[in-house]
Amino acid sequence: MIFEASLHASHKRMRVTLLLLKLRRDLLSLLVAAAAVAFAGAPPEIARAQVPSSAPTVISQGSSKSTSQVAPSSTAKKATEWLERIAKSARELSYTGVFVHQTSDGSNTSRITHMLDRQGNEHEKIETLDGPLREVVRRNEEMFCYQPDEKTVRVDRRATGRFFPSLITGNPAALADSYNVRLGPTERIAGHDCQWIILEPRDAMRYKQKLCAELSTGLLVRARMYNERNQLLEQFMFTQLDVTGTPSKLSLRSQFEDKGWQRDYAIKNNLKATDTGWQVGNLPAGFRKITEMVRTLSGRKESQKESISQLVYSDGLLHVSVFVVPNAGASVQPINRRADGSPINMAVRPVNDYQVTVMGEVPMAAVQAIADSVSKRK
Amino acid sequence: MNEKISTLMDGELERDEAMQAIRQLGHDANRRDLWDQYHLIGEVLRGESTGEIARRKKSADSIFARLSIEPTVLVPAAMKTIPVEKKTRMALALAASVVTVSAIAVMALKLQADSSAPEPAQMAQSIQAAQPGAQLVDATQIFSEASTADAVALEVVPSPKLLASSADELRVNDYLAIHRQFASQSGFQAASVQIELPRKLQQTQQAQQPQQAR
Repeated sequence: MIFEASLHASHKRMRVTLLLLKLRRDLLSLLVAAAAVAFAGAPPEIARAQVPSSAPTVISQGSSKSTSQVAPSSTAKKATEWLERIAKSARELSYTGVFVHQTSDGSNTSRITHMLDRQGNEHEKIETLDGPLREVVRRNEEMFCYQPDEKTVRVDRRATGRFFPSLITGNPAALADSYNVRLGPTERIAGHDCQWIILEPRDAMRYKQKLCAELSTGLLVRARMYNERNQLLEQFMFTQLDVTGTPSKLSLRSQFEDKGWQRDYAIKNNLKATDTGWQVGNLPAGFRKITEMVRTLSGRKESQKESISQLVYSDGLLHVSVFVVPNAGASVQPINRRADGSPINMAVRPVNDYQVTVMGEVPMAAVQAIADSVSKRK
Repeated sequence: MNEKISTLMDGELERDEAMQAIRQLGHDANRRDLWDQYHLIGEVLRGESTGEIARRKKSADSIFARLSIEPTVLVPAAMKTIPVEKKTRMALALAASVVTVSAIAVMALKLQADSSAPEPAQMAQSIQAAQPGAQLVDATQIFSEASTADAVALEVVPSPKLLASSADELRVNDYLAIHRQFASQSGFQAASVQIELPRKLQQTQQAQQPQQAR
């Protein structure tokens, strides 16, 4: 190979060779060409002086980097503090805005109105601006979804949905156990000066996240999720955001509130958590059980409403749902799939006479680890 | 020729030579790739890597496609003549950074989403191996954008829709709706699901067992 020959000829001592060997050849030949040009262009004595002095430069760079990673440096601490600000501001601030959610399926736009009342209750309304109109009104964890085309209000409890800007649902400080959290650059977005916070997964059980928070309030303005190949899976971003005013009570109510639509309860037992009798044996590190409940499917007649056990696990940022239903005599094939147009992976497994379905915005490895270890609690 | 591309990039070719080089670029797809890669490397070296190579590559392709049809006109906007001292300074700066390049180049490779070359990151490889769903992700490339803060225009490649007949039996779409909880509009619509052949899955599962044991 060209580069090896020229490298050899010019500088045998260049340790870079080892690293370079792993690189693609075309890239390499350029690097070597660049090196050759550089050394040829520079006066010989300077070029010679440059090489030995450049080696220690690399070492010192490497060591300074590694110390900053090993010791819980002030920047890592600052980054974690940002996560706390992000979680707190999404809950406690009053804000109105328009945000876009993008996946490979395309993008859709929603308007959000959020307020914390004096009693400390969270009120939120999300209206879809693209496609069929939906309104989701939330009071703390209780959600009312108004569906005009079916004249139905679906009553649910917030558990697994990724609701921007309240993406951090767990203890922000604990996220540092699962992710390497560091500060990124600052950037101006939607008229706001923002700080990027980068969360690199510490294992293969979760995705890389980049969060961008408003400097003065800490409110999330943009959020991105990447797969292990660094491809963007999902993005949320405010295109318009107002954190200065307090929304009126009226603006937090659905326009369909008084229509007397039929109520469709998603969860049995008055939205309370119950013991489903199921468990996950091999939970990936950092994940813990958030809740378990018995659900019904939406839009079914009462007679067709069978019970579905749902267990919810989260690492504080991403959620995994485990659904268990009796297989009703049908044989269940193990399947791994990716949900189209979303970062959601899923797996189906037969467990005794039940069908277990696991899905979440996590890599397939995590979905599989969970799916393969679901069992009935003894 | 490769040297010429790099010199052209630096704006140091004489006018005639530059024209010739541009024309050659217009006719040779391999060299255009090289041109893109040089730019990527240049960006990385200058610390302004934007990861937008995929996007830029597209525009470069269209420009060169036009050039190969009408090879005469286009004149590079700025024909700079760089004084010799500056050249030397640039060379020195380059020399200083060459050693650190290798590390940066590894990052650069990662940025090339379409790269078929083996990735240096061992972790990424092992994840792919442990992930039968990976092919699906590959085939339906979500966004082919790499990793930065300032890219706004996202390229969204529509994924092939393989609607599962048995998905209804498995109620997967219902579960998807429950999991998403109206968090996105697509959660309101019937979500479609891609199916991977169970046979293939079982094979990969078997292959994967020893890995999990480790």
